[in-house]
Amino acid sequence: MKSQSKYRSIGKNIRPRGVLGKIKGEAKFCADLNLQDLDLQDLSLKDKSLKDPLTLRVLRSSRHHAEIENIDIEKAKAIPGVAGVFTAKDIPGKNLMGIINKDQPLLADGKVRSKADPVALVAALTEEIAIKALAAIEVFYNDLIPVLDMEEALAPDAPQIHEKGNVLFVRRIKKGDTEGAFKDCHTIVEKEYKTQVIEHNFIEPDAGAGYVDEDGTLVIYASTQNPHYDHKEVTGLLGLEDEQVRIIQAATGGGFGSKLDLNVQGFIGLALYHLKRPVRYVYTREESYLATAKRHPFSIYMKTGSDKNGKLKAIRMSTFCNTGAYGSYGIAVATRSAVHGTGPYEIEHVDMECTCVYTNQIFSGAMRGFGAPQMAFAHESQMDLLAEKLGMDPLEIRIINGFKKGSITGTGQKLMDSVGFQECLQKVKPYYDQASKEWVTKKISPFIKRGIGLGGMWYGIGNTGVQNPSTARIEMDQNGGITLFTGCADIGQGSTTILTQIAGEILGVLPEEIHVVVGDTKFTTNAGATSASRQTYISGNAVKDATDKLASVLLTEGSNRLKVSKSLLEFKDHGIHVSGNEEKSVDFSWLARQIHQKGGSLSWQGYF
Amino acid sequence: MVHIEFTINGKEKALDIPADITALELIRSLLGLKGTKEGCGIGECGACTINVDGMAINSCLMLAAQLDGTSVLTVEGLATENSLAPVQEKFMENHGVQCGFCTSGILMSSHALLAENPDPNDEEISKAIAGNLCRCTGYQQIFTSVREAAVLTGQLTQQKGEKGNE
Repeated sequence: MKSQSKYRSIGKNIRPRGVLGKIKGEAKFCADLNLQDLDLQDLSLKDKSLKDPLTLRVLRSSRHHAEIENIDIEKAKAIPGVAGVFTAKDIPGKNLMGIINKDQPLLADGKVRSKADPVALVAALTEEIAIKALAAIEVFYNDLIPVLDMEEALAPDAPQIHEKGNVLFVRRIKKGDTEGAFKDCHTIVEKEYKTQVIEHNFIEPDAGAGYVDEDGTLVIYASTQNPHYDHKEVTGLLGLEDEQVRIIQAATGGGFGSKLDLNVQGFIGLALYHLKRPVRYVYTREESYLATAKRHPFSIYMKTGSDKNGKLKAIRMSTFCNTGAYGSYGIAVATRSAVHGTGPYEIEHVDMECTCVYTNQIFSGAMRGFGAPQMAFAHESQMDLLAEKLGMDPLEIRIINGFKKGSITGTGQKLMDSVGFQECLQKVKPYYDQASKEWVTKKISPFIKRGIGLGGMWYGIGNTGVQNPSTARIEMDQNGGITLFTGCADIGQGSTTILTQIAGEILGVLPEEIHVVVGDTKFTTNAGATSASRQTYISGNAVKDATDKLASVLLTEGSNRLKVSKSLLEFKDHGIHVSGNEEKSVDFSWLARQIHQKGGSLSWQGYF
Repeated sequence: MVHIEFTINGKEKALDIPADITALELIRSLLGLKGTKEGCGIGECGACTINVDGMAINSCLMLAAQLDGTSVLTVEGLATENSLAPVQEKFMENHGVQCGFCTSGILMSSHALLAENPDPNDEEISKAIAGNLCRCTGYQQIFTSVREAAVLTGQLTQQKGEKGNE
């Protein structure tokens, strides 16, 4: 640990942005928003009674797999207090969603593929009326054989869930000659593993609210990890132009990957489109469990071989992941599992295949690690079994094989930076050794078994196998005030705080002195998903790029004023001074006015 | 409808309310105090925790009518005009808050604990917040926050006592 940091604000333990509102109970989650008070001047509705938000509810499929012959909504529409009932044919744009592949309708279009599938949307004055209306909707199904597990889905005569079949995607990674290498292996472990569905269980059930402003823009508050994706999806569903939809990320009570998919944004948008009245949709916990993505369950076959010293030689994996009715992040999960299935170990001969399979279960999507944790269960079990067979210490076998600087991964990537696995194992060693020494002698209850274990895993941050861009904008006003605009959703992990630390570091101001506009598609530009541990690094670099550009014009102007080259200038106290001579300085407000008068820009966009 | 009289965050209320609504519905919908959250509605998550006569209660499991004659504290009543409550101060300082949705409930459980037991050990803290799920922090920062809030509460009580003796 360095005692004296070269940074002024980065690395400092500061109070996170927005936390004061949270501890006072003032932070507004979507269920808390008072639409009547909110932007009241924007509301085009003259009749005040129309300002009370309507409650939205969705009728979900009662079947795992069926064709829809007909939906009769007339009785539901006739119930007093029902403002609207909508089905797929009321969707004006393209009724398909999905961040990687588009296969999920907002409202079922002729077919249901799981019991979570929404069939009709109701907008009503109260929740009670909405629930009554759902019961009055009649859906006539033509049942199809449900396909509830991957084996059934992959059977040759299996009913087809999507037109393209029951296989969404296959990822195969091959390096060297695995089969040949197994022949020379001293020890081989061959096993099958299964992992289960996991619910994210964020504490805030999914929610959203919205209204139509005086310009006719649909304003949607969302509990989301990716407001700019929501925006793209809602404009697509409704066939609207970009400026006709505005997504604002409300306080978001956890996501863990699940709030990367749309939850209620599409329903809010559809109701606003047709009704032009404020609406709100708050899932019950039950609906949140039923309707949102889960962690992909896996069925994994793995064969790992080593020489007599425990050095890994070859690995073959054939694995299947159940994406349920829709793709969501399934393709990324399949790719990641093939990439990460080796574990953080050097293996010369690699053959990894992952098949992502549709079934009639509730769809699976992103959840912390995108398949890498499921893989860790398998590859770490393999390491322990291998060590046991070889009579080796489980820590030792990991040290022998673990990645270090210069290691080549299964995909052929040479790891050059930030490979901390060996150091990590060395840090664990003393505790592991101590525990190993003590565990047999420690007295314990006869009903409790004790063991010692360790596990390694690796994980690549950022989008999976695709480009990974982010953008940001920073502006200085003529009084020297600084505002940072970022589309990066802060869901409590602290990105807004960190991004202001980065900008503040460059401009020599305190992070809390920077105004922020976050996750509002009217004012911010796309920063991608808050997922895969990417925002600090990727949006952080976009903020750095924008701030460097602003800093550069300030320095140019400062250099003109102070008659010193730019390289001799420093930022401090809302201004620029000559290094080593703080008396010789010029403040931001003067610089900003000069730049403005000369027609220079004080607003800079950053990219990464 | 039933008639109830109670105090909430120091304010007296006399209301006629439907007999079948929960304390949570009363607080959020009728009184508009949105700091108390609904995470599950079945007493599992603790996000709706309030203090009733000093006890931490899941407001989703209590009928509003049962509040008659009680004194209620919600998260909005923790801070005074000039200062935050010790639990608020320390949760903020020690990163006991991330997404913030469980925060109101955990603050109220912690506050009730410290009112009853000014010097809790870890086991007692654990028991007090056992009914509150937090999905973000992993609880370590929450334990630190409660421990430090206990110390701060003790210091404040002592200061008050000294002032009182002057």
